[in-house]
Amino acid sequence: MHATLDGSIALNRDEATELVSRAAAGDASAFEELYAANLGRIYALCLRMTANVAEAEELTQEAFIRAWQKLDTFRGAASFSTWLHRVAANVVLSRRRKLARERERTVHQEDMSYHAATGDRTNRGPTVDLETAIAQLPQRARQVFVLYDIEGYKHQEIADLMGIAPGTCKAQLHRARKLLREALSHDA
Amino acid sequence: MTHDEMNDELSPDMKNRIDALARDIQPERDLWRGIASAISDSKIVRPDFVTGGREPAAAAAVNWRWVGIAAAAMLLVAFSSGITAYLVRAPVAPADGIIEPGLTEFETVAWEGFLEAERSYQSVTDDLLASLEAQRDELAPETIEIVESNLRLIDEAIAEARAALERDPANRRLVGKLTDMYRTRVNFLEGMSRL
Repeated sequence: MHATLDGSIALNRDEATELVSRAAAGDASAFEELYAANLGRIYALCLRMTANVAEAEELTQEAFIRAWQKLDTFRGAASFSTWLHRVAANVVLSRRRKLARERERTVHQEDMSYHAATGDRTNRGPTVDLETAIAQLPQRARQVFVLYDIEGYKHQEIADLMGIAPGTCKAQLHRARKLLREALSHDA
Repeated sequence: MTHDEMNDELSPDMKNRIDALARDIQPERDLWRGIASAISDSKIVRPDFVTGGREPAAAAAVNWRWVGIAAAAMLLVAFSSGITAYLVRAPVAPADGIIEPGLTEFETVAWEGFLEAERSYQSVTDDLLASLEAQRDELAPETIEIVESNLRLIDEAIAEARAALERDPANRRLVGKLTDMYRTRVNFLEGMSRL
């Protein structure tokens, strides 16, 4: 276990396995260590996929609570952080599907504090512009872009998570990249 | 859209920009407290505990009633009362009941409303506990064990949420969580009193 530059705790696989076993047996302090080690990555995922700080905070909490409830289903085939990441992506996409049924989200409703949250922790300059441009993407295009280009998921995995066809996923990625190119060229 | 268009490659510039994005972003506020509170709730008795490890057929005579009670204990009821909705929208004063100078009249009314609701929950649970105590001799030891075990867990959760609220008095989620717990306590005792 060692501290990283951003203040989070990095666990090796054995340490993570040990903590998962203890947490699955009901040890909340072990789960807190897993939380500390994975918080930054999970929050970044939630924040980029929602472009809304309050919602990202809530979804991050929900993701960890869901993970705690489902710990007995973690088989260890993947690393815990990979499994947790998948749980979080599911939580975000489930919530967004529910919200989408209630109202169509528009670009104008985005939470501008998102930019401060991401900008404060990224290098100044082009990355801040990219964060802004990502936040302004239409919801589905943004989700696909974040999962594919930033998080490294495959089209089939994203399609399964989102309940869409792989072809639709590719089309959304193409749309996202095109919109980002346009936004960044205007910015330049 | 053509197949080639859908398989477009990222430009080197875009790749560089993506690679430069922070992989970890820390939230500005502490999210663990809310998670800790939620996962401590999940310690409350589960239906498999209620069967006492017996075979389903042997436990069937009591399962339906006990499972219902356990479900009531686990049910952290959504914060639905009017006063709750009111509080969730309003900032909250410190948990010791002292109204800090500078709170608006609206906030003061909201906080007093919460304290009033808390007193009501306490009054209802006192009555239910007295009623249960009067029936204690008629209850099976297993039933008493379940009642006491669940009450202990609920009370621990309430104490944790109360302590957290004192540390973070402006946290509206904690107010909601605390009221959920009071409500869970009442629901649980009501379920037991109907035995």
